[in-house]
Amino acid sequence: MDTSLVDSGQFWPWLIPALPLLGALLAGGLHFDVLRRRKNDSDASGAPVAAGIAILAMAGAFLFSLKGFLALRAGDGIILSTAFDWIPTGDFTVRWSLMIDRLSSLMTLVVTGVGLLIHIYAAGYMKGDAGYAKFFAYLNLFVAMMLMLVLSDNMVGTFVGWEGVGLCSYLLIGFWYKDGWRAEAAQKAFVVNRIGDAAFLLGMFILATTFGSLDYSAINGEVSLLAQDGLPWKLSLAALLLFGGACGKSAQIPLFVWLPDAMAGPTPVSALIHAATMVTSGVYLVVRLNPLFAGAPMVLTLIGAVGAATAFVAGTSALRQRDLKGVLAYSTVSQLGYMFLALGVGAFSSAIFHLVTHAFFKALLFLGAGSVIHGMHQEQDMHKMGGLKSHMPKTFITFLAGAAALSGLPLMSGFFSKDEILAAAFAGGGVSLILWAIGLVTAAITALYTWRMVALVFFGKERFDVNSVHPHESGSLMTTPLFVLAILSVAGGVLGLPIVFHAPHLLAEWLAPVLEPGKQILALANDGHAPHLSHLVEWILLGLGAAIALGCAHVAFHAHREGTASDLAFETKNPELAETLSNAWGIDRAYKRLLVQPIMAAAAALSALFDLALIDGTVNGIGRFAERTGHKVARQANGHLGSYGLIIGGAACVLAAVWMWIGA
Amino acid sequence: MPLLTLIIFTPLLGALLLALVPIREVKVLRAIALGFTLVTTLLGFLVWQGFDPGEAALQLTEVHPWFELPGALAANYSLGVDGISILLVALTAFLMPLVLISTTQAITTRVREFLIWMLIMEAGMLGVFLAADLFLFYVFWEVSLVPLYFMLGIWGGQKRLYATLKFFLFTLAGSLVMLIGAIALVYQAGTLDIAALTQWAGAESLSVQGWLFAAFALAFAIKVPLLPFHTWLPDAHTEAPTAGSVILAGVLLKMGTYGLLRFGIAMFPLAALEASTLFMILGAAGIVYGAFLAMAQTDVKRLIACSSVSHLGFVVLGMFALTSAGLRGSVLQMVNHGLSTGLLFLLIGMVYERRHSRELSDYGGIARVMPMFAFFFVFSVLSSVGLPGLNGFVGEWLILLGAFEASPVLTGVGVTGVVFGAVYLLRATRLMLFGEITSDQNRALTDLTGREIGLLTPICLLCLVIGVMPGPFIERTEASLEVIEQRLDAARDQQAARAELERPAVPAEESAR
Repeated sequence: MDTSLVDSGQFWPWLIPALPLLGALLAGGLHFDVLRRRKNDSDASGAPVAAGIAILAMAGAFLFSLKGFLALRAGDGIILSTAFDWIPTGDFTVRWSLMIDRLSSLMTLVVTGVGLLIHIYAAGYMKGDAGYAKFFAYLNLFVAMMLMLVLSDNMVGTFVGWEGVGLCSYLLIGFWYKDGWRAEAAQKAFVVNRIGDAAFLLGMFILATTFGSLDYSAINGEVSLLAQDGLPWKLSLAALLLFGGACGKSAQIPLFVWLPDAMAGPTPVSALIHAATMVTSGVYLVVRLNPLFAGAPMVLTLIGAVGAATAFVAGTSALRQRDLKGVLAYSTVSQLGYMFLALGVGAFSSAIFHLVTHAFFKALLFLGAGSVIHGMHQEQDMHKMGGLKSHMPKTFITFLAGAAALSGLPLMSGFFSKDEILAAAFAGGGVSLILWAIGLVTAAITALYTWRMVALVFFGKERFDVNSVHPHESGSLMTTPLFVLAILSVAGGVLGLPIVFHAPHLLAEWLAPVLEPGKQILALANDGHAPHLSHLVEWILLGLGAAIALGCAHVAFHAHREGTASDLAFETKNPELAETLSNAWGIDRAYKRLLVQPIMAAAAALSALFDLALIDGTVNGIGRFAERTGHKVARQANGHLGSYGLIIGGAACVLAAVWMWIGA
Repeated sequence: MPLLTLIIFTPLLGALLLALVPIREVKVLRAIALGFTLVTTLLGFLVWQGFDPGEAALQLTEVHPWFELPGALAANYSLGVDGISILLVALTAFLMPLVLISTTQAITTRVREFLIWMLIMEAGMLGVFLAADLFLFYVFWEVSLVPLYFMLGIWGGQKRLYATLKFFLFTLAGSLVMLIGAIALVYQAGTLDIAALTQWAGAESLSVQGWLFAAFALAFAIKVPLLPFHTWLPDAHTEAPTAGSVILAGVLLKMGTYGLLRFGIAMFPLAALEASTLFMILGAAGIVYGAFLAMAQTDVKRLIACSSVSHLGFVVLGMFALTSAGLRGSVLQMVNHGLSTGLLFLLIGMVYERRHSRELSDYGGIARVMPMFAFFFVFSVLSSVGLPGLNGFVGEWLILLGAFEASPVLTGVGVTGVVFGAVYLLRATRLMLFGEITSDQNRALTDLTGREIGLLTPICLLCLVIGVMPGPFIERTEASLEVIEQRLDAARDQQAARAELERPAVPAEESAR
């Protein structure tokens, strides 16, 4: 790989993140203006101007992302655009610099494309909210940060976006901060992410001190050279630490606990941040540094194991959620687990493939859920829904498309991307076969919880008071994005058709130059050839996946289409199991007991016992001692000549003794 | 133009004028004080502009013979500014008018005195950073101590007398140890000129450097304050009026870290190398310890005070890593901490003026009635937790990077501060700003006034500028820091050579290592 990229001298790449940033500033200014006007006019609102600004900014960012994509497709090499120097460390200088290559270009298209649709949807969804303008300011700021994350040509710039999206996530989860629990969820998300960020920082420091640069091109280039004779252990450690950062942002075990709580944010936020974009940053980071991870096979194995475990645990948890958004939240954690499973078996391009299709169908499902919640007057409990298909036909039909894609029904986008991951795990053989098996079981679970959700929400009898709740279809501002996403969810598979279809795998071919270094290193470990499956085995795996998805979807749908009876039966039969599953196996509670409470108790003890009693007590003790001595000494100054004489005489004797002692 | 003399004496002149004018009108007095600090700011800007980033030695120097100490030691009135002090001089000049404006509503008794002490304090702090003569340095050091004593004692909170005495005794104890060290130093070296002393001390053996370093370092460590000498700080901060807290956090504490760098590391490189691990441990421990203290606080001002212990732990950790990134980061972080913690104290002061409580539990949900306040508070918290794009990140990142080169393990300890910092600051944010408003007193709170927004905005903008474009700031420190790095390298060679000499005869291949 060329390690010394030449700056393109073009400035327009900066417009991609700058436009949403500008949008955020304008919408933010508008928000304060609205607050000012509201003093006289209680109806003052930022709608629809704020949404207009934000949507325009997104459209602009999307167009420039498209420009980048077209330029690359026309054969341009990597487009580098450096603004100015940022941090001179004394040994090297970090610059504000963007890089449009095939990976970042794809990411910008997903972020701005899906982001644009969600912005349009939100313009309808947030109507009437007091913080309308503020919402769009945050949302645009988020997109700007996400674009910085994927576009930066160096790790520090990525870290700006990395923490920036974390901030926006914090602000948006706590958007309705009047509810204390939402504010707590926001704080939890930020803090848990920061644990990952601390690991990210340490990983970055290892790379910086090893290579004297944090530019991706330099790191990847140097790693590729070193990998010929195996990477030193400290680089494996760096990979491990960076994976720790990825665990935080992408909600993997052990740091996934913040994501289910993050559903406290408005639903468009869940769709954009907590499904389609931010949570995939960890996947992006690993793929961006694919030579480093490819050169650290033990870390890769760990990533696969963590991914598989997360997929399974979260999947089982999604089975037992009653909250509609809860199902989707755990489902997201589980699907992210699939992506890490893919990374773990070295299938980097499959991970990105699933990232893209998941962005489509999970954004769709969240937006559909938002439409349901909207139509149901903020009801989220699926047990209080039912029969909505006739009330909300547009939401229903698009939701079906998303569900089909998520559960991997044949020929849907999720079918191809999930199958590709499972095939890669199967082909890896050995330990990977365990991952494959877990992945397959999770695929079954996915179909089960997806179709349980569909049945409970849209089929059967209405389980709400038809007299007081009148479910209604959402406006076209909200349903139009649903249809676009539905088409993408259904047809997104064309990006990566299986080899046995004898069609080009568009995505893999597109990403090949970026993934080549990692692929070579992996091949090195496998004596020069990549794992390969015969066509027959591929067909069998495809058929197996299709059969499992269809079978489980069928079972779940029929178990739940008549209502909540089977749910309640399970709960009465296995109350403890149901409880454990619905709380993600009690991991969150264990953290609270084993980590959070002890730390807070230690802080209190340290402050009260050690700091105030011991250290400060000593200080005060010295003070009191000095004071008392002072009083005693002062008492000697009593005006009696005799006692002065005694002191002078005594002192003279002591001095004489000291003098003689020194003299001798 | 003797720029440095002007910048020190302008506030003093202002103080003198305030003492003499027969005007009783408080507004006029405030205007006079503000006018003089603004002129000082302007002079600070001229110093900033006139500063040559390529020059390592003291610049804009002024030397005038002053008097002779016994033993034919010539004390000079000599000033100068270099890369170690330029940022702090600029910070002081930048902050003071804003701090003065912040007192308009908070200080209503004995205003004239208060303003006089503020101006004397400014002169003292600038003098500390600009003195090129050890005697003069010591004079300014003590001068800067006195005003805070009175500010705490007269305008402080309920436990102010205890806090005042504690602050004074702690600092005085440090000063005395430094005085002994200074006397020992100057009589051995035969000069009071700091540059000459630095030359002399650098050539001395470890045993000579060690004792002198210890004397100076102890005094500065108390001022920083470094664990375990930190307990005066939460009390002083909590009891001080807002302006006092801002100056204390913004500038006064930096006299400690400044001293550690100029007199500890630059003057005694051999000793600094020996003490490096100890100080890095104290720094890392301070980060975690301060954070834990902050987590346990219920008084928001005390919480911010404890966070200072944690943040200054970062500065010491980076400084004593003795690497180029660590030194750069620590010098920059001195300014960053001054800005972000200054902001937080200002904001706490503003809400205290309205609500007269510092207890977190008295608040809750006030973002609703004070949206502007909420905006600035969250901004300041983000600056303080080192969010990339704002000032704190650049300093913290450089510090951790530099520390990592010296000790990955201690950096691993220090980096937990990144997590804990988010814990205590976001907890405070949540408890104050978010949730339901439960008390009528909170419901009646009014948002920030134009004056308040006006004084916060420049600081926030500076936070943003340093976060995005720290180049002009780091650049000005580089030449001077490089000289320190060279002295450290030379000391490292010396250390290695001595280790070679002391080593008993060993097999050849091992000693070749």
